[in-house]
Amino acid sequence: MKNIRNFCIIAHIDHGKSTLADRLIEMTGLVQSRDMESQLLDSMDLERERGITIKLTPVRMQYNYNGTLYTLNLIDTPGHVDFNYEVSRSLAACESALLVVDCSQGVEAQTLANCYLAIEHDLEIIPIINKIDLMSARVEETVAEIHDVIGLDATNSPRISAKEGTNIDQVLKAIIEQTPPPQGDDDAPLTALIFDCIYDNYKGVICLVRIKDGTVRVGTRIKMFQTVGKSFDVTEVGVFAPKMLPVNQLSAGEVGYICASIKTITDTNVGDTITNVDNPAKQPLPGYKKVLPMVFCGIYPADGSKYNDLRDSLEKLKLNDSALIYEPDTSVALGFGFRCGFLGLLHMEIIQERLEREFDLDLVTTAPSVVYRVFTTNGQMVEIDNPTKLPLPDRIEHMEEPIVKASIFSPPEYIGSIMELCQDKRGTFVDIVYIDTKRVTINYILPLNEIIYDFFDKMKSRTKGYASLDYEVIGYQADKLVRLDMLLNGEMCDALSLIVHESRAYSRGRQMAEKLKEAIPRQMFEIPVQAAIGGKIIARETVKAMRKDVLAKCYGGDITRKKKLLEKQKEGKKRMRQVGSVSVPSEAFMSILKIDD
Amino acid sequence: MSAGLYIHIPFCVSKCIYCNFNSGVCDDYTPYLDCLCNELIMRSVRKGSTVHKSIDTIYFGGGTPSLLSSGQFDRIMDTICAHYDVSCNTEISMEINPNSASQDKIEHFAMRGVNRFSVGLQCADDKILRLLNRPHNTNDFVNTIKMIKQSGVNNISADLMLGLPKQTSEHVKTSIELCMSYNLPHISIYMLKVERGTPLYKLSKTFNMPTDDDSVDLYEQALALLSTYGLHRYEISNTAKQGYECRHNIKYWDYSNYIAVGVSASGFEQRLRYTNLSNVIKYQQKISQCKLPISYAKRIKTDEQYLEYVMLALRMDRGLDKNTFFDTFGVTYDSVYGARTTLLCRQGLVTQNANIVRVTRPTCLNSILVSLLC
Repeated sequence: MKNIRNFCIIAHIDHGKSTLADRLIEMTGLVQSRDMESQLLDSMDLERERGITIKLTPVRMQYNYNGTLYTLNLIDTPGHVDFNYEVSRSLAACESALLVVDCSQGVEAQTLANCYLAIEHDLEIIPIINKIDLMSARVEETVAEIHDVIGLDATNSPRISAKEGTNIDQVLKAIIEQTPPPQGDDDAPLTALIFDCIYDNYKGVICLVRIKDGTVRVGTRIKMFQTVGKSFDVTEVGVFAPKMLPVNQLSAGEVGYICASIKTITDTNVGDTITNVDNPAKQPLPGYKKVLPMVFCGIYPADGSKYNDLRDSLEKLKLNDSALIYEPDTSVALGFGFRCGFLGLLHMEIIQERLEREFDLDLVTTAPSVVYRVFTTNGQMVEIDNPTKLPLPDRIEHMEEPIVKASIFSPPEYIGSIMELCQDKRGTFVDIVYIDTKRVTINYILPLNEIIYDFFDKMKSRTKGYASLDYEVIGYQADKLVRLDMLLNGEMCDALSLIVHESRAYSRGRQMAEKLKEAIPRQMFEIPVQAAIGGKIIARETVKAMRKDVLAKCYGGDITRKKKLLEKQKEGKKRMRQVGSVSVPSEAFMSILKIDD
Repeated sequence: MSAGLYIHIPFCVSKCIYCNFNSGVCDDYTPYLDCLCNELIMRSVRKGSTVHKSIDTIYFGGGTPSLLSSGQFDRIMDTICAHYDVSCNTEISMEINPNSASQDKIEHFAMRGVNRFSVGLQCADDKILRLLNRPHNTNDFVNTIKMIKQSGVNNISADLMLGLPKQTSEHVKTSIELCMSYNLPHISIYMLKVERGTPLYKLSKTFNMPTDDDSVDLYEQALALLSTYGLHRYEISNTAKQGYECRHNIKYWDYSNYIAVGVSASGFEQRLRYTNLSNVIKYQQKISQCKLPISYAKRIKTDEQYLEYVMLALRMDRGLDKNTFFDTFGVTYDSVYGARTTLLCRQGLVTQNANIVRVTRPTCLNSILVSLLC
């Protein structure tokens, strides 16, 4: 056990975590370089395409240092603010964290946030100065920044280029020398923290675990603390090298996986503790803080008959992504589907894409919403995450919306455009802190519902990608909020309703009507598209009636061509949703999500 | 009931830029005509016995059938008469392009029985005709009409196209008035469909093409003008004076049988739909192997027959007769489509009077059909 080192890598997005992980894997000879793909641990297509890490990924490496063979367990972690919970899970399985800082960018919002998380978990922080090969490298300034902002001494930290492979041996040396070996007792009752799960069609649920105490091997009878009354026989234990590799046993301090023919997905909960049936531990390990979803939207199958497929897919995805929550929901326009909760907009996007790619589903999603507190005239408070559940306007005394404290890190030349953006988004200025001459932190109080739409994209485009954002929900604040409804041919379409600030209602209503006019094909009759607040129409567009859909010459009695045309039109209609008498294509519901203010 | 006979002559003197139909320029028609006549014989034979098929309409389509020489035409007519039971009042139509036949030839066609000519004018504007690469001008059209009349045939139709590049309502008016000045009893009006793979498809991006709405405006204008001359619309694209409706075309819409001969021709016999090979060389190879040159054949199942019947009948201005539907299929129309028809009635898209179902907006027939059939 004294030769085991469990560590993770934390950093801001794009600071080179995954590249460093690649170099470590290469260095320890785990993967032949001919099999080496860049960003090896980002196994999801989505991760590679977007160049981001979404899921934590464990890998076991072996390294000979000063004549001793060490086992190094690395857990790669995501960098985006939405995936904080993934980070905190991996932290619980480690004793140290490599804090990778891009020395051309310096300390960023997320570096700080993740670093504080690691300190909270009592991890040893090992700063790594990365990207020294860049022209714009500012090594000494970065060392000073780490000292000033985080309070760590990085004078002797490895200065590396993960891309070029420079000084990677120093990183390995630092890991071995600075990471405390795991504490634990091989002979004590088994306690294993489940820090992630994967579903495999053949093996059932695969639990990714960190063994704190005890030993587990094939045949061990195990149970979970939260799953009362069930026990399982372990069928396989193994490590990630980086593909799954069965081993004889996992003992205290080790990181690996356990399969036990667990077929029911709900039997496993990330954060739960596995123990022996025969010699159980008395106490579970401290689990994870439950993360609260902040952004909600409806997800419906584009083809109504795929509801069951969607349910199964969500169930499987949930296993792998405990931050996702969902419950069945119905919409007049979209039929049966789910109301889902996410940690943020990126998380929402990722889940949608994973559902579509990994489970081959076509989805319709409704506009994202946050959780509003609605105080009714009879003195009650209800939390509303779905605009359609909002009580009637005359029952509402007032409403509160969640607000966040947003810290934006940026070079000083963008202060103006960032402040303009924040003001646009109903922000309240707090302060500007100069970290050094090249970096500032701009602090704002912002309503969360302004951030969830397009704030991140706008900020990136206004600052040429230099600014970074971190935010935390700090509470609720009363404001004038209204529900904006869309009416098609006089009938309200519940799936298109959203809650907006009063001052935005008119412009958004107008934009939505315009978008819908474009997205709804002409039909047999004229369709008024209206935006309304509490029965008052504030915008109107018209989809003109169709005038022609036929009339090609019927060459020499070739009826087949006509039938094909009809078939095509019929197929098109199947993909439409019926809102009253109006057929609305699935894309129309999505088009309103992409509105530019 | 006698069947119709469609004969496809795929040759043209030049290719129009909107055309994706099977036609082409060729010098020697003989090999094709050999095969065509063989196919005529093959199709007249059913199950080993030579049954003389009874036909009462013949339609020479193309391409430009009027490019056939008198002798070539005779050969086809002789073959038909030898192997089919041609009714004495058979309607024999021939498509003819202006400038494609001499007075002598037209008179010969008429002498051999052609009693209806369909002349491709498209638009009475020489600039537009040049743009479309039509091999004639307006004057050629007038001359051809005169020659046909000279030959004693008065049942003449002209084809007009709507939605052509640079076409205005003035063009449509001029075209119709020109036709009416020669008292033509039948006009077909087709809306141009820009087909992929045609030269027009590329050009349409640079031209200022009329929108669908523009085309419908032109269409309605044309119908209104034609009705003042006594031509009523009897099918979506066809107008005629009383008694001059094209009997062959009506066979397409009223679910009659029609035999098809020649490349890419489509036929419908005994609930079997078929389309011939579209490649002339492959077509000729098949025939020389004594095989039918079919590229596609499908026996239409009962429920699909209902659908086809409704789809075709509703194209006709006279509408769908529920009694005829019952006579044809032995089930009532209402048991299949009654509920949906009533719904469409309420939306004002179809009308039901006695046993007749008609659509109120023929230009949106497909959408009405989708609501009705699917």
